[in-house]
Amino acid sequence: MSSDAREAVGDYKAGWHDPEQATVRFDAGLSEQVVRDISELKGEPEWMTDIRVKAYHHFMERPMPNWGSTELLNSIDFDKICYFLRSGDGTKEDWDEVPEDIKNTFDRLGIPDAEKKWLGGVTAQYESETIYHSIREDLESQGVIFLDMDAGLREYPEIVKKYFCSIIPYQDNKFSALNTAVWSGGSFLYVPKGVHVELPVQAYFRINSENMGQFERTLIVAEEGSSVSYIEGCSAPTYSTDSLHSAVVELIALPGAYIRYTTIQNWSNNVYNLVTKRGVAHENSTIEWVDANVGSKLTMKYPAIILKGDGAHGEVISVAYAGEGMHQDAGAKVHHLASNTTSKILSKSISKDGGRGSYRGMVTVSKKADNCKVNVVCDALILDEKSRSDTYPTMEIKNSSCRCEHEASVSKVSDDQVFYLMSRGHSEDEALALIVNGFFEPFVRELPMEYAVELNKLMALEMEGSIG
Amino acid sequence: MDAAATYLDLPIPNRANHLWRYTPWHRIHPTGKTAYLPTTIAPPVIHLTMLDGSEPPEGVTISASEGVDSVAPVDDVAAAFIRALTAGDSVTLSVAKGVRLKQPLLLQVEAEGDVCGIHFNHDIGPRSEVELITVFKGNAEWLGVLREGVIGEGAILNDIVVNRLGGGMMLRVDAIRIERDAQVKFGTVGAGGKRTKADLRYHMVGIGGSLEVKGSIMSEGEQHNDSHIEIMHDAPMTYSRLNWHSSCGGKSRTIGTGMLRIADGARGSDASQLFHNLLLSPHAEADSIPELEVLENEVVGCGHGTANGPVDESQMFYLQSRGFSEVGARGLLIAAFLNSTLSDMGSDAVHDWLKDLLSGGLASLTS
Repeated sequence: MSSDAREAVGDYKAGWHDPEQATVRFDAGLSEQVVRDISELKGEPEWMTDIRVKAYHHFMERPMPNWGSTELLNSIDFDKICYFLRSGDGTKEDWDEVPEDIKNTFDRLGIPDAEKKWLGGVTAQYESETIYHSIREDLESQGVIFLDMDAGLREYPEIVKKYFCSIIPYQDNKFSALNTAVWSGGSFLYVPKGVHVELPVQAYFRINSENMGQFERTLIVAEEGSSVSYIEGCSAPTYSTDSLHSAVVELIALPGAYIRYTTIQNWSNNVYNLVTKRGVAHENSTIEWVDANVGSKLTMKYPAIILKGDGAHGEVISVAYAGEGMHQDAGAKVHHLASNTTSKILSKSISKDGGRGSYRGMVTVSKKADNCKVNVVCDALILDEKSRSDTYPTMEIKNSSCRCEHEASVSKVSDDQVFYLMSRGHSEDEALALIVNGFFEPFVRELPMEYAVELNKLMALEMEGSIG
Repeated sequence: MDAAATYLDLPIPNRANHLWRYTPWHRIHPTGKTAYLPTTIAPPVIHLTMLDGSEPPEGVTISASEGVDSVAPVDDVAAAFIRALTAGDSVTLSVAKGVRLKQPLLLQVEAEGDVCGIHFNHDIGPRSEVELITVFKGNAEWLGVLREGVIGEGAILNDIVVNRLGGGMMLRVDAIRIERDAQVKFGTVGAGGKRTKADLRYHMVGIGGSLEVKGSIMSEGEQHNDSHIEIMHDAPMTYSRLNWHSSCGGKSRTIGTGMLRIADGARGSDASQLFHNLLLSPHAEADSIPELEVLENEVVGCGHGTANGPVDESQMFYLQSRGFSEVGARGLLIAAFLNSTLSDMGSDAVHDWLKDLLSGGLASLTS
């Protein structure tokens, strides 16, 4: 990429910020009162307030994880974080009604354009709450519900109550407890029986303020024989102090349903991204996590699939880019609880400029799960002498009819490949970018065209100056 | 601080550490009470000969020693426990510089009584060529073995450990340093003991060192076999291969955890680890965690793999179509699976000796 082009986009192109214009901002720090105040402000039913308070106490009592990047985890100062910030005055369904500053932010991120061209619905979350939401009329008329989570709880409390915390209880881990206590925003997507949502729906999450905590909660329910593809993107300004993003995503694929959940995580490198994502797949259903992690200071994210029904299938395809000051501790978990279930995990990571890429995964096959098939492949590239790559896969097999394979490799970019491409007229940077794009190709081909092009550009930019 | 105080001062290992995930320290401690240090220790009976029963030649010695330099990390709780049991005393097996043995050494360790502990110090001299088979047998309730040592520059060593204990528990800790250009093979053959925990650490500190680690583990009944293998590449141009085959029958549980670490500066390292588990019974369980930590980008290659599965049905069908009975075909496939690592542990003489030793155990697995 030319120096002009680089100047135009900057090193991290989503790193600008707008002046904060909060209509409600809580003081930094967490207490039971803060949790109750969030719930009261949203006018939530009592059962939700109760579960929030229980989760708060669990969060306070539960120790920090003693694995992973413990040094970075222990450096999080929970008292400095703002747990709720409302910008604007509610969710709009007309783009023109969104406050000007916020509209500009999302215009610069290209969200309205994408909606017009190729999306079935859009949710845009700014700080703690959703500021814009829309869904195509034809989907709405088929009974598809796509709302922000707060509206979902208000309008469909019986569905939310049935599934909320059913896949990821607040006791699951410290950060799922934190999210359950202070969650705000996120998406609620319900696809009725037999409905196929042909165009993907998208949510975009933006943190704008300093020392902000964003705790969105997403719940997707695909009824029998339905299908849907959901895409989320995220970015934040670059500040000298840290922000925290701790989301919880629960997916329920009922018999024969299909859910694909795609994430393009591009937080700035002052954001801790500590996310719990899990889906449960019933008979003959499929859940796919397509996950790209190219930003943040520390990401700890292991999308999980519980294959609960016979013949269910799970797939996790992920890529991670760990640049300067970044630790991408990502991976996947698949639990085979039923017979004839199959799963596939493909993980690719690149470490550069002192970054650390870690794959941490788990596959379990229970005693009653006959004839399961598991395939796990992890590939890592290390681009310089300052960087590192780790792989920590766990496999627990309790059924003798299971076929389970795992392979991993760590390597550098081959000199022969660089030499060949340069002999065909490419510069070193171009050659490296081509090789890296090729390395990521099995992931990129799973993305919608617009995302694939964007990711390729992003990686080309990150690779500039990597050699020599 | 003496050895007992050093042990008692160490914290109980955390199960978040994969080394202790499946067999926490209290489950392999002789009494389960980790603060308790047994005072009555039965020393095992040690007998060193050549494989044909003759005396070892000049240049090979075995002697009691004390105060040898430690290779195992000081904060390793298992090593500290065995040091405390043996009160810091050890048995040094020494092979002088340049000695080349024409046949393998056989080191037999017979352990009886409630709690047995032994600390070996292997001093394999530079440019020596040695094959060593160590057999642990007897009916001790609990045996702790600490094997520390240094493999000298340019030495060639095939070191095979066979577990033939009765129904007791065995804790084994290896901490071995491999010097420049040494070519080393470590083999582990597991067939005995009701619960075994092995923590094997090989540290490649010299340029050009080569290491192969092989495991051939037969688990049956209610056996619990937990093997943790760490290979540290701390020098350039080092080579390692780990190949661990476990067959799991009955209600047994087999665990293989590995750590392959390429240190910053270990340029040109070439490493891989493979765990293969053959599941023979609906009640058997196999767990694997092969870990990689790579801090150097100029590596030839670094990878790992795991495969778990039952006996291949198409192979069974083929053998049965050639006239084998079902039991015969199954036995042949299990034997071939275990033999693929067993045959690679040492010379033909070692392989023949091991096959004879293990044939009984194999028969019980295949039936």
